[in-house]
Amino acid sequence: MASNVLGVEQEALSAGGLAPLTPRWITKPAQAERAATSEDSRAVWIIRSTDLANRVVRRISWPSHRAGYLVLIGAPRPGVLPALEGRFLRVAFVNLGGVLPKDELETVLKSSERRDRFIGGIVDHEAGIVTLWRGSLEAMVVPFSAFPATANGIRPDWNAFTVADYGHTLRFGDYEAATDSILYDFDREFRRRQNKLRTASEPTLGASIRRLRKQRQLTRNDFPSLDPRTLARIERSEVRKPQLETLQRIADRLGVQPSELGSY
Amino acid sequence: MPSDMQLPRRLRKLWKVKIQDREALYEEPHVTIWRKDRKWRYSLRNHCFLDPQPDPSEVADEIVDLIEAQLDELCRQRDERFPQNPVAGEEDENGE
Repeated sequence: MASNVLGVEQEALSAGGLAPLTPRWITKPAQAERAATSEDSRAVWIIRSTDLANRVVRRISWPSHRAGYLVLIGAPRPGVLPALEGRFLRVAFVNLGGVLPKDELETVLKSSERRDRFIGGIVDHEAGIVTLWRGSLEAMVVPFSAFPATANGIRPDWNAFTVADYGHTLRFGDYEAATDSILYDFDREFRRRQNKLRTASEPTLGASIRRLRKQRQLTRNDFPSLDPRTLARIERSEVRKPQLETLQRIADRLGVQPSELGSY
Repeated sequence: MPSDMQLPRRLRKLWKVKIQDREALYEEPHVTIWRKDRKWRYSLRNHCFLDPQPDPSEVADEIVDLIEAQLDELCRQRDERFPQNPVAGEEDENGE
């Protein structure tokens, strides 16, 4: 299923941007029935009511042609999820409070930049993760640890999650995270694009290690198996070809694969 | 909470200026300016827009003037959040 959807999105990207999706709110039974049978592959059906979601499921005829997208506001019942995922190209589900306001949601879905925005998400306290949905309705799973307290003590409130600023901001109570910063950390393709765009970029392995070290809030003294002066020389690109073993140690401490070191 | 710069009421309807709590530390210290679904990053270090798109000329001059007028306070707030990436400059050569 995922590869089909990705194919659609990649095709659109190669054609010069994502074609707009068409948000369709399901508020009446007749709309639920249309959602169950529509062949509009660009439609995003948005449902707030469990009853209407049930009605969609009941109206699906099998085997179903797969078309369009579905956003369920409120957690779906596990029993209906496979049916909905069999009918729609992609199904997103978000907390009632964890979704963009209606006008902002529609703007993002119609935007060619929707892959770089979040439309909503769901917080799982037990697992310690936030599942975020991009405007392309792809999921991104982010651990709580990705939202560290600020140096002046501002911490995320996991009970007060929402998305704001047309999907540019994730809000956890008083704590706000920039969407770009999350995409940069968790989406390699986004990171590559941003690095290309960065006008004042430092395109060296050393600069990349330095950026990642700072992002992890580590000093050069936090690498017990490495002389801080050596690390400083690597970061300043004074060591043209660091030894593989050294790179492995750096990568281990930074929590990435050695092959990823140069991409930050 | 994010630092929302105080704006006059007539500007507040359209514009927001913020320092967020989770920004990538590779980025040059900046404030983010918002107008609906568009955003611009304005460098606190070099007093310029960091991205060519969206077109910085779309930002009202008054907004930039207000940022410049409150620069010291914005820099203080930014450094308070992100001491590893201070507005004043890079880390020292020993990398502490």
